[in-house]
Amino acid sequence: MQDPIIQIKNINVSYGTNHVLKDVNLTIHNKDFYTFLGPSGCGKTTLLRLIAGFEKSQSGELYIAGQEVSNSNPWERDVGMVFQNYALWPHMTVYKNVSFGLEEKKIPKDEIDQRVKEILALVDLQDLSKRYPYQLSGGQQQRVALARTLVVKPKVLLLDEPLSNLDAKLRVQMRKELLDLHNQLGITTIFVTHDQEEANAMSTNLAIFNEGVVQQMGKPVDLYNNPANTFVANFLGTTNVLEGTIANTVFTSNQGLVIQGLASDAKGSSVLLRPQNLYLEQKDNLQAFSGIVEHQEFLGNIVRYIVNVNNHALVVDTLHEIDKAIHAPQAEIQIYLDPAKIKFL
Amino acid sequence: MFKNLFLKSTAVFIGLFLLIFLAVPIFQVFYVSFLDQNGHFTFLNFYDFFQSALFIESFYNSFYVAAMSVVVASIFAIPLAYFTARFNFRGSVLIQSLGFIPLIMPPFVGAVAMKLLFGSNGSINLLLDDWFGFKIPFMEGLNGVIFVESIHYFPFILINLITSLNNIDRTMEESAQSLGSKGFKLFRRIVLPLSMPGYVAGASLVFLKVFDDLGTPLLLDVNTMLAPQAYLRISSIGINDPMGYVIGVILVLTSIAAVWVAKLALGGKDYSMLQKGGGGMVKRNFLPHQKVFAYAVVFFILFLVLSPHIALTLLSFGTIWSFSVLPDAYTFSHYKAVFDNSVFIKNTLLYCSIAAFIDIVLAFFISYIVLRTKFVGRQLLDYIAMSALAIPGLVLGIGYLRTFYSINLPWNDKPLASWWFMIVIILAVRRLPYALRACNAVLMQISKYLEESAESLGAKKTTIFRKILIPLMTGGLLAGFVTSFSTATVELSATIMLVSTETDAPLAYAIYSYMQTAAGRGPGAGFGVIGVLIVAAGTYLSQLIIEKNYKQRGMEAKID
Repeated sequence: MQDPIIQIKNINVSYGTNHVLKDVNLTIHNKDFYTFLGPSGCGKTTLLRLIAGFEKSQSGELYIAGQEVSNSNPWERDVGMVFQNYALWPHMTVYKNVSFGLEEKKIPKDEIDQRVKEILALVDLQDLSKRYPYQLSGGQQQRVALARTLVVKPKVLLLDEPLSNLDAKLRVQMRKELLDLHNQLGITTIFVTHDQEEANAMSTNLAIFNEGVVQQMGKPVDLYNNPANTFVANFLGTTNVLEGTIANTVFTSNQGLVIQGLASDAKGSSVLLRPQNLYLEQKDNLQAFSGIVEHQEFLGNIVRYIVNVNNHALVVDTLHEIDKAIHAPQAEIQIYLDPAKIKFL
Repeated sequence: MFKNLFLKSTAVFIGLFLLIFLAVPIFQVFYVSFLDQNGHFTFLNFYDFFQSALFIESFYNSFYVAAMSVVVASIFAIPLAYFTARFNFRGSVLIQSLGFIPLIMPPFVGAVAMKLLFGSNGSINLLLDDWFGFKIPFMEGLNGVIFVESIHYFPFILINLITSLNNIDRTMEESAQSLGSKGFKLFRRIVLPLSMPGYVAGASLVFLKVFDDLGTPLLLDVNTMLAPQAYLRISSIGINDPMGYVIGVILVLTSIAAVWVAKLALGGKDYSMLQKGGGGMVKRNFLPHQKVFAYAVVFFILFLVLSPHIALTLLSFGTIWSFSVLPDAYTFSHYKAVFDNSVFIKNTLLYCSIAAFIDIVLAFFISYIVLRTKFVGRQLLDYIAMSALAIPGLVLGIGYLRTFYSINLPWNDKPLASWWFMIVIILAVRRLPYALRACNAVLMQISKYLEESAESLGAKKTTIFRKILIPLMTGGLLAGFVTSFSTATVELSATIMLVSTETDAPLAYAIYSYMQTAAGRGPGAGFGVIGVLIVAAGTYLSQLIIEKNYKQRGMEAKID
């Protein structure tokens, strides 16, 4: 296990009566690509700005590389932040933007020149160093912002929704470039996003936030497979949540749907059914339920149905194949499920 | 296509109007400045200008006064802008509202009264002499002009600077801090350059206003400046003296040069486009002693700003005010004189409401033609109408005199230039840019789709005008009307050339002529107070209308 570079202990932040972060505890290890994921207003950006030194916490401790930094200024922290809007200074050329941080550190001119050239080459902008920000495309501006931050070799790289201002295609491309940079430089990166696909695709670890509270943290696949609560289950992909009672491996929903054969340790008050674990074909003695198609969406690789079973509207995803019939709304169909793949909370 | 025909003929009509009442008079001034006595082309007039010690001195003085006014105005404006943008400061509301002061009263109105407050035997200097045994020559010669002008015009710098600072996205500073920058160095490298566009815009406006101002130097008895020289040449030697025109040309060229230099300084960069968030700098709280200092500065400057108003009010109520801190006694007799001569007020209300009405009609059609049609040359209408901003009122007045003096009215054989309606027209031309700006702003905010959706529901163009555009634009049109109206009431430099008889004279002219004699100062100040009240009411009204419009736009924002 690598050593921790950022430790957050019992952090609380409030603006007046608005409690933005509640008792947050987190550890981020060296060379992690760590993602703060959550809906807007969940406190993820506040925590990022707190690490950068732009927000103050009412209580708690924040360690960067073993040092308590709660009371130090942004310019003393040695963390690099890339802002959502890139925040390139419009009155400076690309070169000047990138050299700014090195000049502040009073590094000799030759070395500045060399390091700026290196980093611009790394982000593939060596030919644009004399341009002004307004002469660049969104993707190029993004890369200047990255270069400007990386050139000073910060201990941690903070990225505040860096992909949200790019169009869909560029976003996927920048996703890969960001990861490549991260791997190449081996720099600890904290990434803030509201997009679960981005989070799953990029992070080594992630923390899911809601209403100022960390709901769960861990590796993306573990969180997907074993969500701690219905918020996490819903936020990471689509889930059917049924409320009811579990007794002796039998689940009975409030609307009377009965599922048998749950794991022997099953307890709690709800079950989670992932849409891809509900099938339209029988195989290996699955439990069958009859329902009526309420709605059908053809999404290309999958067909998504909303099926009414005992007055539950269940989302069912099936892989689409060329010879497979598509059920129209109002059709009566059977759906099948494997109780072994059911999660309960 | 009835509508296109109607709009096209309207466009042609407006084009002709601007040609006759704006372009031709300006052209005349340029043309005459290059003619000798026999009507032949010559450069001799300009040669003569630069040979005359008086004109060289006047040119130098005008330049010096304008530049120094920018310096002094900056000293007032910069700390106030910085307090507002950088700190959580209740005084900010107070500071922001200072922006309306120069709209409410032009500097010449309070100039004489300022002498009584700040002159060598004025209230302040009498007190200084009493307490400390020295005097400060606030109002001596050119100092007086600089002092009065900068007190009046510094809000132009202030407001532009505040806007510029508030447009700076806070991440501009934060990213610099994150890279290890702080304190004054951060300010110098990031904040200062980013706020330059606003500062330069404000400073060039102050320079222009001061350079062109006629009334203030005249009333302060400073004649060795360009604008007063032009006026004195034309009014004493006559409209055939070429020197008045030469000075006019130099005033116009300097105006254009100042705008050009400002553009150059900005390098054509619009920083606000790149800063998506805005929201201004990171705000701090004052430390207790800083707060005391900040309030002291604000109240000191507030006292200076209000001093012309205080002095004017005192003067209008005072009996005799000479060699004393305050007037000897107070009386209403000056206001009696004001109401006995209320013809000036009536004239002003009449002229300015007609002028503002003309403005709003022209502005509506110009902005519609520019923004919603594809007529060839439509941008030209906008440019020409807006160019009135850069033309000194005095120069336009001289141009009118020259152009329309030789044309006689058919019914009484008097020159067209002396007809009262020409005052209305010159006011309309001078204030058209204000109305046009208001109209453009509203029309730009009205989504084209609103009209197109009405069209697709079968509405005819006339219905769209009547039921969609006019109702949505009412607020903007009214605000434009009020702004044009109220700023026209105190316009002096253009109208002073065209007033032929006292009975046709507007309020501003009355203030000017009364203020020139010691006995007339009281009633003159009374007229000044009336003028200020009219403008203040107008400004307040237009603010109300704009605010109400903003509230309505809560719904519109979603439509856009």
